[in-house]
Amino acid sequence: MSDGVVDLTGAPQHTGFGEGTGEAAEDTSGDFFASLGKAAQGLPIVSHGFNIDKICHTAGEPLDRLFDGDASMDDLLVLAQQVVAIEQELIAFIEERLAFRTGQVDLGYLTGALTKLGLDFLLGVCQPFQDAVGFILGNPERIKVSSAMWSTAKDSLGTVNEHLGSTTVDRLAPNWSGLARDAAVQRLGELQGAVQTAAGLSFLISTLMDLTSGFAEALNNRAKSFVADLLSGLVNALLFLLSPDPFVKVDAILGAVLMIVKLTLEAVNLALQAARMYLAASALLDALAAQFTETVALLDAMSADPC
Amino acid sequence: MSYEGFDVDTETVREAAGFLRVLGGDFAEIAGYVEEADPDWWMWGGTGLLMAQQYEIAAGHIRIILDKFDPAVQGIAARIEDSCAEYEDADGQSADDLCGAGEESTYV
Repeated sequence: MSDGVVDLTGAPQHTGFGEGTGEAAEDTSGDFFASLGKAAQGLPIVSHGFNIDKICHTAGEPLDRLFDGDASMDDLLVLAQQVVAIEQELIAFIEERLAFRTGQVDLGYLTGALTKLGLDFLLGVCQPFQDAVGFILGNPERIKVSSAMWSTAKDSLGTVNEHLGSTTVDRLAPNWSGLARDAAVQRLGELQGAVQTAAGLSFLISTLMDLTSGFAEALNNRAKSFVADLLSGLVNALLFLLSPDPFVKVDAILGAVLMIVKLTLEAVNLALQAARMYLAASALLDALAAQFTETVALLDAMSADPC
Repeated sequence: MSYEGFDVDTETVREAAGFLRVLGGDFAEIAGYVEEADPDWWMWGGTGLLMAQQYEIAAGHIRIILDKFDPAVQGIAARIEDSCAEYEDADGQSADDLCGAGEESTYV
């Protein structure tokens, strides 16, 4: 740690396999009640409130920009994701209505819901389990830590840049006049520009990792839903085979149709998230292509030994 | 065109250069911090197949830039300190010259 204006003690950091990921990734490992609370957000009925609130919060700004005529490609993709999310909520709502319409417990539905709740809880409370699953699909929490670290770097660069500016304006400029002073002020201005460029690039890579974390999360959710749907489907198939009630057969067919619609919507959501990821990566690589060579040459000239 | 000359408070300017060197340390700390920002291979999972390579290329380039800030600031600070030394030397030298060869200046 330096004695300067930036203190990165306590900033987000990666940790080893099985260790908690920290506040930046909303870590709940080892915390029974926090993990249970987080998992409960995915329960039927309860989840709708959380999800609709999330959709409203995410859609606001892109929607404003769309009506102002300033929407970017990413804004359009975000809005498309919101449409898919609303459709997913509607499907979940229809599933619930079907499951509870007779006032009796639908065993297949209950099995799926409890399996998902259990998996969410286990992944939240048991970090080694989460890391083992992440080993296959990607760990959204840990990728989010990378995003948080680059975001911290961007903020820290901004802080140092402010001090560079105030040193130039308040300490150098008033106590020095002449051509050498003008040259020093110009050089420091160029340095501030380079720091601004680096802060912008750090922001872009942080955004990229945030979107990548979202993609990994969507993949993990699909895997959890797969297990839940598999168990739910097995119970429904058993009921289908064993029950003489014709309504059970209709239920099973409806359940299968809903599952296909859910799978399609999740696939569309994954594709939209991947498109946003590639868009962010492309923006980052374009910015690097435009600014890297010039910035490096400028910094090399500044650091060269004075002759 | 006339030369408007210069005016400098070398002590304050040296202090400012010293503070620039401190800010260089901050840049070095930030550069060191992001050295640890990459996810390990086991964190990427299947998602890494899509994005790890592009991330690593971009992160590597940004790190090259970040690593150069500290030397750049130290370079600017060194030039400012050199300028201060040259102002002081030039003033002393001029005083010597004005007093004439062989006579010790009272200004040095």
